[in-house]
Amino acid sequence: MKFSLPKSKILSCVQDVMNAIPTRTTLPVLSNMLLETSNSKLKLAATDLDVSVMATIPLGSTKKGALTIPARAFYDILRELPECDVEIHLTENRIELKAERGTYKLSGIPAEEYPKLPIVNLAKEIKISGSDLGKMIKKTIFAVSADETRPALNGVLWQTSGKDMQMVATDGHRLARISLKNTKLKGLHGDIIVPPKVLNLLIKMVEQEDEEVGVIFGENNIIFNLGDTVLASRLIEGPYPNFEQVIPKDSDKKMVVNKEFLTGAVRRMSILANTLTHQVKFSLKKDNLELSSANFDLGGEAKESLPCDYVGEHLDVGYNASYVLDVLKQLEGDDVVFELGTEVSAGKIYSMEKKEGEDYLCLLMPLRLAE
Amino acid sequence: MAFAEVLDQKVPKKILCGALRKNFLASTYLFYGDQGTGKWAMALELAKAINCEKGQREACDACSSCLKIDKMIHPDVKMIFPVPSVKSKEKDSKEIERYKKLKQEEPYTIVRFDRKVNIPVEYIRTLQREIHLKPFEGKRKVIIIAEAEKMHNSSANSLLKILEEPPLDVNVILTSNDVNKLLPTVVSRCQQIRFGKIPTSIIEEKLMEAYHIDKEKASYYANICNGSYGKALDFLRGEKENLRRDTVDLLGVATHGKTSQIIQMVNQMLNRWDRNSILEMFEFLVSISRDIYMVQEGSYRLINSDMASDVVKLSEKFERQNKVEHVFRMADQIRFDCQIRNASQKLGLLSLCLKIKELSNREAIIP
Amino acid sequence: MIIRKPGIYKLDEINDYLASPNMSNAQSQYARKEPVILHVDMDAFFASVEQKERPWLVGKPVVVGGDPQKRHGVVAAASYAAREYGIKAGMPLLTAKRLCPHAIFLIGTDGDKYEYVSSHLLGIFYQFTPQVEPYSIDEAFLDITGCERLFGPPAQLAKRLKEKIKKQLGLSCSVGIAPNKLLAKLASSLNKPDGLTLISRDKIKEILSPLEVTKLCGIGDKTERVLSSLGIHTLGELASYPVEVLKRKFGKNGEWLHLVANGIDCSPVFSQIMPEKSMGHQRTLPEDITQPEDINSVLLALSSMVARRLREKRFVGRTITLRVRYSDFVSLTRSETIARPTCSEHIIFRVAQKLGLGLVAGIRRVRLLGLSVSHLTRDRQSLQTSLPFVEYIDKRKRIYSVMDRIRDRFGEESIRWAGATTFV
Repeated sequence: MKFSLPKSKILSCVQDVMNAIPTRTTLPVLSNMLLETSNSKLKLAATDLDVSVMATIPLGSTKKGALTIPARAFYDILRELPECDVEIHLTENRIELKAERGTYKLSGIPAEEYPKLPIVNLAKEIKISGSDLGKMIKKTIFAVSADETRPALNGVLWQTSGKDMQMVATDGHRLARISLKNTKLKGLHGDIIVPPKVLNLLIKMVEQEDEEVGVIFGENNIIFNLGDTVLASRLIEGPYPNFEQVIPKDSDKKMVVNKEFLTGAVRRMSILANTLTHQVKFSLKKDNLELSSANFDLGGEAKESLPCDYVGEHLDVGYNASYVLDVLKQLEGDDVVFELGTEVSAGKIYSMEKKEGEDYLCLLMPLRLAE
Repeated sequence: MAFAEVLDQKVPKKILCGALRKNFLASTYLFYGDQGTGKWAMALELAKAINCEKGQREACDACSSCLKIDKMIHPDVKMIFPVPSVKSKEKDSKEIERYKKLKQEEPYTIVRFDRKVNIPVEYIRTLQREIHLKPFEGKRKVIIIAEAEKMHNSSANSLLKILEEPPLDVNVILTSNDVNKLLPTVVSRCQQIRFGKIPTSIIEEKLMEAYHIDKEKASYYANICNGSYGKALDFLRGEKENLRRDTVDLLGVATHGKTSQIIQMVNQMLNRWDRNSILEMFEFLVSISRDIYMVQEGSYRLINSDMASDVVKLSEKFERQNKVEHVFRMADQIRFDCQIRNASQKLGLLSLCLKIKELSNREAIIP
Repeated sequence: MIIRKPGIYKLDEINDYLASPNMSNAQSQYARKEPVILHVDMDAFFASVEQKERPWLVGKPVVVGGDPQKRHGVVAAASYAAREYGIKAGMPLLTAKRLCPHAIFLIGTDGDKYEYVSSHLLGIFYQFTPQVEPYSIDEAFLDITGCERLFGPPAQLAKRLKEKIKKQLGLSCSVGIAPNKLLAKLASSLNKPDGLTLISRDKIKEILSPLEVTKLCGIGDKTERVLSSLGIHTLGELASYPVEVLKRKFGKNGEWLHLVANGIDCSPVFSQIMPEKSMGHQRTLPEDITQPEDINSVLLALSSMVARRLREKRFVGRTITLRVRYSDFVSLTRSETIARPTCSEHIIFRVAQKLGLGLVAGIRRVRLLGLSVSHLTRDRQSLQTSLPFVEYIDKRKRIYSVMDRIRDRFGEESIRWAGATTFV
């Protein structure tokens, strides 16, 4: 079949789809991009078997057809072309591009050999606000584990129940949980574990357009419909560990401190912290937080005192400075609350300001202060 | 090609079909037996049956799942096999493509590399992540690891972690030519299925059908392949002719030559052929000494019928039958020692040749 | 603390060492000052400690040995009265008994007592210089270069040191003073007991030449045998022997032999605490064993001990080495490196068991087994605590930590794995 499109239009779609082309693979067909025409639409798609990206461009009427073509070469040719209309001719086993003066031919692999991409079933689609989704992802994804021996933790847990939804991520040392009430979900219940790759791609793509995202929860995959572009990912097998049990109950050792002050201080501490542990010590006394760190290799030491609200007993506790900064970065409002137990139990960190219908909480496990 | 196309192997078929029928597949299978007896073919068939879109208990060979598995491009059926360890990733994937292509053309093919091969630990490590993802398009994920004994300790230990707690929608199939070299902890976590030798008549028939050769030739290959269709194909393709020629030459030197010549010849052989070929050389020695015995008994139903004249010549060198029998036994024993007990091939081959020299009738050549 | 034999440095090593930037500084310091090294060796240490505790033993022949029932049946120390009968350290207790039937034989099992005295000694050394290298439980090297202003000439310092030890611990010691560790150790052995020997640079040749080669630390029976086959018996003969021939015979060690025979040794006094490179334990078994089950049970006990020490010091290691000594005193070692550093006795045991299979064919009788873990790195994970997920509780880790706590409180033998032997 034959059709013609402006270069910039194809290129922007191809660019999106390129995100799913793997750099190295055991299945050669995966370095190809699928081109499919049907119902007066051109569909471009690629997958690395984790994430799939599909983009559609409306066409005038055209015949049905499909072929996979080497993605890199296709993309590079398009990129180098001047702005013009490109005529594309797909045959059974090759593609021909005609632009202004030149013709470019590439041979492909039959579409039957390409993995079957997930089917977008619009009937099951649920609309979620893109900004809500982006916020939830950003506030949890940093805590996802990279440890392959605990596969369930390699993704973000996404729980939906009725109108509420919640995302959780943990690597065993820290945990982030965000729940939103009264979203547009209707009576959907379920737990899925989503690999971070697709979520990262999603926030990258949603940021540009603050609109609603269609989500389809499948049995084996999740699909995000962004209109012209569709993202899909395989899910991780559960079960997710019972994270509720590790969230400590209320504690009397509560410290309230200014977020800006603390962030600056921890940053400065981390410069002279032990390069392996990044340990920064929090010494809590009445209304006073003393931070300290030491790097014996450098012969460096740092100490800083901050005013805070604290009435509990004196407590010394160590944290990985970069973990603390990760959390502080995601918290909103001027003041943050640390709810602490002992020097080896989880610290609960949240923002002083409560937002209606939103609940965000981080847990951080301390570093042992021994030595 | 469905189970019917797998040559013989009635017992494995019965076990697997039964398990499929009752929906009671083991999460891990270990197919073990000689090279070229159909372990790979059976593993493919099982993967197809598990994922066939028709949902029958056997592959339909028509749906896209079956076709993709046949082409080895199904995203949920991972196939891992040993490749020569190379530094560059490019070469690596070239070797994989070659392996796949050969196995795709003929699943019974015995794929050989000119270098030492192993299953790199990275393959198993990526598996570890992938098996915890839900299937991409199929019903279940299937992992086939061919020649699993070619895993290093680190690979085997990584695999062990997968086998300890496999997700429910995964089936792992290991195949192995030498189950003794697998970690016992791996073996104990598998349902083991033994693949026996394929009857000569079945190989003969299949060769005639698939390669359109006449009965005489087919029966000759079927006889010398020792129950392995894969090896029969090797002979058919003439890949073993040189090795057999060399074996007969070696026997010639062992019966005629001086000790120094024998040593020289043995060294030559070891330089020319790799470990596996030397093992096969022992097998030839066994089959040729069997033929010599037959000639002395007055029978001409030889395995190596194409070498009849050589065999007759050699038979004149041994005066009494029990001497040939001695050679026969010793060759078999040394083959076993080299393969299983890690004996030195050089010493094995040399001592066998010197024994042949001692047993052969030296006077006969002097006149 | 790393303890290195004095003078076991190869020529290359010395050159490397001298070329290193921090050394060239040290060199320039020492260029003006001749190094002065002290070697302090306690006289009949174990026996003297026992005599100190039981005054009625003073002056009598006392022999401290291992427990013969556990086959540690050799003399650890003999009092000087006992030495007059020809009893020497290292000789089987039975021989000692034959030589002097009326000697008082003590079983030196109270390691803590000796350790205590030893640490007290160390305290005294530190009063003179921070440059102390403990060499064994009753020996140490002290670098007193440049201490003259504080304590007067070396001999005077040594005298004060001896007096202090006598006064505080009631023990006597022999001190050697020389320009390097090798000679200092030699010097202290020349004049025992209660001696003080000084080897000055100009006397080196004179003192060394007539001595037997074995007098030098580092030259053992094996080397001596080879040397005497070359017709070398004294250090003087060794010193003048062509170094090329020695090199051919001993390889790199040949150079070293040549150097030490001339009294040259550049090894520094290792005073600072060096990072540990390996941790291990070994045990002579109460009786020879051949059965794999018995061997495994010893290996499990050793694994447990090594792993506990690793955890205590917060180390993890990757290389596991098994050492076997057979009843004919032939020793073999085998090692394997694993992918992930560990401090788990189960992992260590699994590797040790595999290594053991290769060494113990069930035919040879095993007398001693040793296990060590090297390739050590700091265990960072143990510092970062984890959220208490029920699903991810590492049961073994919990068992280890409970066992460690029980042992901390009730002693090492208070709890052990059911399959492990006990060494008590």
